[in-house]
Amino acid sequence: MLLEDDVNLLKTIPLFSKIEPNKLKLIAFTGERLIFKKGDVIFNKGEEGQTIMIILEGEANVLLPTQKHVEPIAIVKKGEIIGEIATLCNIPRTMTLIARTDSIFLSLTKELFLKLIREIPDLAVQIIHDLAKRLANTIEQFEAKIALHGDNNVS
Amino acid sequence: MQQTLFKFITIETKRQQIFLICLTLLSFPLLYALLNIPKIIINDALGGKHFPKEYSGFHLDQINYLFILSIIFFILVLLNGTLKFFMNYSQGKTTEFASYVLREQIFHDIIKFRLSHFQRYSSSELIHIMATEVEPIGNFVGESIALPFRQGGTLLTLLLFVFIQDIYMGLAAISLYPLQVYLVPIFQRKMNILTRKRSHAQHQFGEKIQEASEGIIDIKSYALQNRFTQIYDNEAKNLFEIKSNFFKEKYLLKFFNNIIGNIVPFLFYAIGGYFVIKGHLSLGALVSILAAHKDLQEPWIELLDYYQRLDDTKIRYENLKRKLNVPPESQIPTQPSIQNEPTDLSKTVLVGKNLYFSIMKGNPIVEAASFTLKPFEKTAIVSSSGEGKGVFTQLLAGLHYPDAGELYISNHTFLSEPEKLLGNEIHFVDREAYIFSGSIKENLLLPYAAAHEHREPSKEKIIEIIQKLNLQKDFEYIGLTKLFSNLTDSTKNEIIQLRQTFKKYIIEQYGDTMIDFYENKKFNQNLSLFENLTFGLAIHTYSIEEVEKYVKKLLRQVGLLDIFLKIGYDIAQTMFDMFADLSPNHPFLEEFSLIKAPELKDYKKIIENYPNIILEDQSKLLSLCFRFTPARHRVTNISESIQEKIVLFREEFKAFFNEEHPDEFLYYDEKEYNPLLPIWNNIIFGKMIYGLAAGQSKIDIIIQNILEKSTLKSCLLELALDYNVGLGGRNISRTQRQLIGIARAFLSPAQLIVLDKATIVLDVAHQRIILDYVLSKDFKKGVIWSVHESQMAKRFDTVLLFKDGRVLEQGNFKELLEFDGAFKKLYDQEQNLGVIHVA
Repeated sequence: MLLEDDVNLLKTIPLFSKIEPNKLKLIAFTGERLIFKKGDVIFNKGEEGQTIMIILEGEANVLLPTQKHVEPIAIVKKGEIIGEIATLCNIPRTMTLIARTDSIFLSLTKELFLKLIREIPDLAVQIIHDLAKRLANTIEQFEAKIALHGDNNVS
Repeated sequence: MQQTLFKFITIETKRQQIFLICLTLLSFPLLYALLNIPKIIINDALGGKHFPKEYSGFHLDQINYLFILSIIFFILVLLNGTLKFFMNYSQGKTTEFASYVLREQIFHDIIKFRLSHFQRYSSSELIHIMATEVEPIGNFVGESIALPFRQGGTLLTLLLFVFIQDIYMGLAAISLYPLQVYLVPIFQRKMNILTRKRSHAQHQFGEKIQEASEGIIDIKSYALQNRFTQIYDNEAKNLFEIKSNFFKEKYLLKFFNNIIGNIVPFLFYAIGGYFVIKGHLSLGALVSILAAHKDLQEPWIELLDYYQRLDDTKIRYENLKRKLNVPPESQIPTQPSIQNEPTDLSKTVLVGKNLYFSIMKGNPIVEAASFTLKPFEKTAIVSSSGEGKGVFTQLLAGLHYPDAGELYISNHTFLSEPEKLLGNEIHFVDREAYIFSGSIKENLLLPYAAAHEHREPSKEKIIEIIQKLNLQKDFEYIGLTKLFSNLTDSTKNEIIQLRQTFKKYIIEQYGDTMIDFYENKKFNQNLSLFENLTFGLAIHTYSIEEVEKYVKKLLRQVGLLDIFLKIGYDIAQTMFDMFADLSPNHPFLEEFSLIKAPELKDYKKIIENYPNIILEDQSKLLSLCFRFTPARHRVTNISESIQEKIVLFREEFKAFFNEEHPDEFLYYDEKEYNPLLPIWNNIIFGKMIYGLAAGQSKIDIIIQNILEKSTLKSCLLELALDYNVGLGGRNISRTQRQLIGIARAFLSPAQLIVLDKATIVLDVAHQRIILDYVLSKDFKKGVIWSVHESQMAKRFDTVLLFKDGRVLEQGNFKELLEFDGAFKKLYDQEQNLGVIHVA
């Protein structure tokens, strides 16, 4: 319930792990704490994704709209971050997110997030680091796929 | 308005002026006596010899004689003062009366202008005329007769006195008047020219400001601020130069008058002294003459000034008259041509023959238009944009008068009917209907303010129209969310019942995760500490700061000060942790911090000195702590023992505040309706849990469900009808305003409704609803609708195509398409553009 608790949680997230507590407090304080009830739609695929969501409590199902009532393709849990790439690159949501339990999210609008990056240079470094790592991973996977199929029919 | 300024003065303020003249006449003998008595005192009482004097049997020695004369002098001074008071008062009153009459006359004139004439004036120009231009004319009217009379009379009295003392002295006193009489008009002519220029420049200046005000969005978006500042500067400079030239002339004239005025005493001392020495003149007389001369200056200068103001005001009056001048062809008839019963529209036709109309001379909008309509049918007017269809529609509604040609319904010729008669028979709905300040109901029934012979529609009829226009949801929402003071006890009881139903429902469904209810014995995490301490609302005459003072005082008294100072300190400390290394003008501070940028320095000092802080700083720390809402800000924990103390404090505060101001603070009492909260808040009676996603809409749905089963629902509609929409309807949305404007026409007694693109500002769903209703059999009025797309005309009985100033094609939709003329072309064009279809 207290700001301190959110800060402690943020500390466990790799993206925020190297940022000083005061700045984490600023992030927790300026972000909007949103409470979702089980079954609430957090966002829909195709919506303009202008916020970054951090799960502070609870779990959420990741769905593709064509399979709305079947099993989720993934479950996201406490401590995970959703939508930072979509928000930074201005692309619409690529999936639908529905609260699996009653949950609390910390929502950072794009505008706020950019301001925070400007205030907290460590955060920017962490994001670059994070994105570079993901890019490397993707390339690795991609190459593995090409090696496996031996042709260009990669979808 | 009267033809000339003096006609206005003599006709409109005749009684006041005569009264002022009478008062003035009374003052002259007094004035003469006041001059004469000092002379008697000096010559007879002080310098006289033959004592005791005898007056009707009384013998007076020198001392008594002096005292009696002094007492008479004193009484005269009192009388003179009293008379002056009455003269000033009456003159002031006359001034205000003249302004009042003038404003009244002007307003009566302009409101009756023909629409096309009225539209030549901007609202700022009219405000300027009514507020500013009338003022100096009124000021002059007050003094117009009385001043020359009084000052002229005073001057003559004084001169008479001087002449009686000595004819040469009198001649000396007036010796330089001819020079002034020659000089003043020369200066005045220059000033008059400048006055005219000033009036013109002021007008220009006003126009520029109006332009900047109306075009502000474009100015800002094209970054034209500098350009407009430049234009403004030029106009202001021009005005400044004219005005400073005016003052140069004015004070140059004053300078001459002063010089001339000071030459005369020189003559008095020289000539008068000579006469005294020679024994032709007594010393007392010379002293009196000198006193009289001092007094002579004032009325003479006043008269000269008056002459200037007279000329100035004459010009102002002429300007005003010219501005409000209505050419005879633009005047509106005031008597109906034929006194007869209202026409039954179902049995008649609306005929236009060879109509001509223009707003600007030489630029006709309607040219040789001829048509015959059945006014009881549903007629659509169609045209491509830029044809002046709007003006043509207004013409059909009787808002304009054709320049030539004939336009009549049965035997009512539009040209010769007064507006009132047409207003009762034809109602016009503009693209954006104007909604006046007052209740929604007053706005809906506005047409009946002029049509006394018609009975107002019943409540059921009003509600029926509201439902037809799909307004009831909006109105219910207004009823739910706005404040009303006229709720009946049974309604209040029902609200309290709904409050209980709602609470039960929420707790069953969601527990305590949706609403933090107002409970007297429970600390509310979603209210600020201040709201938790006071737990209620002060009536609007109290500012929060005032109530805060009481809370602070009582906290001190009951010994809770240190606890709250500590909370305040913790909050300040956390704010500094987060925000202190940001620059002082960083947007975060304004947006998020509980301590705003300008206060940072103060709080820094407070933190450093804590807990040794002075009274003023204690107050600051308390204010900070009051703003803190635990669930929202989460910077510190309010322990359970503090929560208990806060809950107990509520009762003490109640007693404390009530002692001085009973019934001026309304506490959150679960069993009572709180009139300072809207019904919505009275039902949920708590604070939504902070951060609840889509909480408002979830709660709205629950409340709607509860309302369905309650009689409060119909009550809400009636409450909304009493809601005051504010100036220009600014308290409601644009869509609501337009729907009310349309509903007003539908409810009016008029048999024919003329609509000019009346649904264009509405959403497509509303457009369709209104079109369907108008074209249905339920709609019992005739309609002429200037539609904003040709597709809409499909189901109308008749379609007119207005093009090149005339009715080019007429028929039903199908016929016109088959005719394959201009209408077909327009229709095809719109189809190709993919216009959204409403019909």
